[in-house]
Amino acid sequence: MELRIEGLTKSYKGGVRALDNVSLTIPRGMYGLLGPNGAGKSTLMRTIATLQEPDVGSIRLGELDVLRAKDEVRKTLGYLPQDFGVYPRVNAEEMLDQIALLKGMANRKQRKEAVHELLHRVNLWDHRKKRLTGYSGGMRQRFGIAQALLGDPRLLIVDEPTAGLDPGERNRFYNLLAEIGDNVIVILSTHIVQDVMELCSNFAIIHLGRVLFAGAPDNAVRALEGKVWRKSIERDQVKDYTERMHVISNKLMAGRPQIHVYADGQPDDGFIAVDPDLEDVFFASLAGLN
Amino acid sequence: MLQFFFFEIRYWLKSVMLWVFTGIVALLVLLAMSTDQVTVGGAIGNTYRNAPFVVEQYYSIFWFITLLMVTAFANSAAAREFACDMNQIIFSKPIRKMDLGRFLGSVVVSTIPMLGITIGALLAPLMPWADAERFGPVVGAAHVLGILVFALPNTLFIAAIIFAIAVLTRSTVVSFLGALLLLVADIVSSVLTEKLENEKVAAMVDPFGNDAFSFLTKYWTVAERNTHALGFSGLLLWNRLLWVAVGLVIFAFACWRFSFAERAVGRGRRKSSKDADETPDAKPLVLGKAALTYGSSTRWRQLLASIRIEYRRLLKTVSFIVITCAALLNCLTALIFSARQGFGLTTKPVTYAMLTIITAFVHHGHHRFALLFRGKGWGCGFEKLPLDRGPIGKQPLGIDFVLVALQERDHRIEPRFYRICEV
Repeated sequence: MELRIEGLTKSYKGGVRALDNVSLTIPRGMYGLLGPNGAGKSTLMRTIATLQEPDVGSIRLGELDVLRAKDEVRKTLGYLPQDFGVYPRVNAEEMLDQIALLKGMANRKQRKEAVHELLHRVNLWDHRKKRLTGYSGGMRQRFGIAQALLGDPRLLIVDEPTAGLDPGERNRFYNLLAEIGDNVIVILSTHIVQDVMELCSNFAIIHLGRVLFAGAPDNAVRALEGKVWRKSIERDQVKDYTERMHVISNKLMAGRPQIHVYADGQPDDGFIAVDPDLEDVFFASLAGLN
Repeated sequence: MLQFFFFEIRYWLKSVMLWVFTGIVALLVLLAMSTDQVTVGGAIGNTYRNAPFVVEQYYSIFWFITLLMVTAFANSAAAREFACDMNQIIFSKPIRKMDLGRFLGSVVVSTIPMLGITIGALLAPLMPWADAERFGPVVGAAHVLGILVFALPNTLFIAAIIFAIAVLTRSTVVSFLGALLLLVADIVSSVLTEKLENEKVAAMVDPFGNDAFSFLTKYWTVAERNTHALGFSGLLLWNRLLWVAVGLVIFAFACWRFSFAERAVGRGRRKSSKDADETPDAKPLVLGKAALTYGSSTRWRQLLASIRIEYRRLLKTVSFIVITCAALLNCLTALIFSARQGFGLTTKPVTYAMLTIITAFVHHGHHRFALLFRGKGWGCGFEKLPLDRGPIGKQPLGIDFVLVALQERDHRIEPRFYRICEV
């Protein structure tokens, strides 16, 4: 089973084109959607999650038409929104039980078992009687993934799940996602390159509503081999280099700017060839270079 | 359905609001029954203060008091996903319609504050200042019938209306305005139905059954009032059936229109704010250029600035809008009726009479608002800003100036209320 997105376009009032003819084929396993803030990732994910309608285009999950058979899709869908709230005065166990009921688990005993299993799995068992409003960011996010996993979804959508988590929480969250296995389509959106590197077997780069790249991270990196050059320069030289060359990134290294330049051969004295990484791929794509 | 019903009840039983409401109603009834200073309903003459007639009358009138509480519960039941920002999670589940259980749960919960009547009535004779001779034996049937005949049907009717409004508009402001409109409509209709020749028709038209109750008990003797409890009989039965049916129809309509689809409200704005993140600011930061002073002129400026920001904030507050609209609505009905009618006479709507009514109503509304705002204005996270942790050491007083400006006419009672609120 795979998810096929074809020609998806969505404009908001005020002329913002959030999605511009997006076509993607997403296989089983972890799939990363990488893009800067405002790239259209959330719009794409919300559309796949049956929460909003595109202007044009189609989405198919296996045999299902996602835009028409919404209820069928929702039965096999797990969705963790980018930001969500919780009811006040309700604890994790009660809330999960309610959501499970909405998901269609009518049998009380089975529902309880499912809820308990998930609480153990996301390591919230000890906090199950605690009010959700008192949860930390990481705990709340783990609750979010628990509710998304209710009912064994075949399609799991997680929208910027690691935003605001400390490194320890982030690792725990990744391990949780990785455990979900390869039998499910997991779409993970992020603006952090490292997330994709660590987790995803396939990914796409989205910017201003358009797909700039789609494929395996290894292939993307390989395509840039021998084309990325690095140099440490002075702060007042940045402008000069930017005008003369394809500077794909400009980072500080011990307080001094270190630029990465895209070029077929050594662009200048002092440039050192570097092994490209996914970050170079990302910035080169955003700059329209590959 | 049952799970949702019980979830709703459990959800609210943990809420402080519910018990505060119940306590308020109980206190009100306790005072009304045990003292002469507080009165609810008409004069009762020699009837026992806790007579079944009085208890049932309270149950038939108190929708007036619990209206806003019912609104809070029903509005929450209909729009909780939005209020709590859980809509995305809930709406991606395979459900299409709001569950009946949640609505019925919220109706049952909304009725709980009415039980304050029973609590108050049971406690009133025990008060040290209560005149024991004015209290008769407790007639349990009156309490049970009060709940069944008046409390539950009235709550259901109100909740259905609010539910429908909340479902259609998804706006708390509009829900509360709807509740106030209901109040105004009731006053207007009671004035209009007074003129009806046919008392039976008038009794049927009252959705809350109070007119029917008055009609049926009009010729009761004191002895009857002290011993009888009015049940579902004749006109009252039909009245109750009619209005419960109307309530259910409204609720069915709300369910039919309830949609789990998202509406594109505010999405565009959110989008553009995200876009703004993209362009990094290339300008170097200018640091340390602004001199820091803490003199009295700075304080004046801080005061003026805080008045300005508080004034703007206040004008946009939900409660301010609701209360102002309510005051205006109230004012309108008052202008139509009370200016011209009194003691069976009709007077001309001369300017001074009109002005008196307008100022009285608008100021009354704003006064209520000032109480509300002074009491909880700082609870909205504002106190977390460095604003009031700055070197000035105290909360800026801007809000107080704004409030005083709003209600400069109410000097007499205002300072006292302030002190209560600030505690």
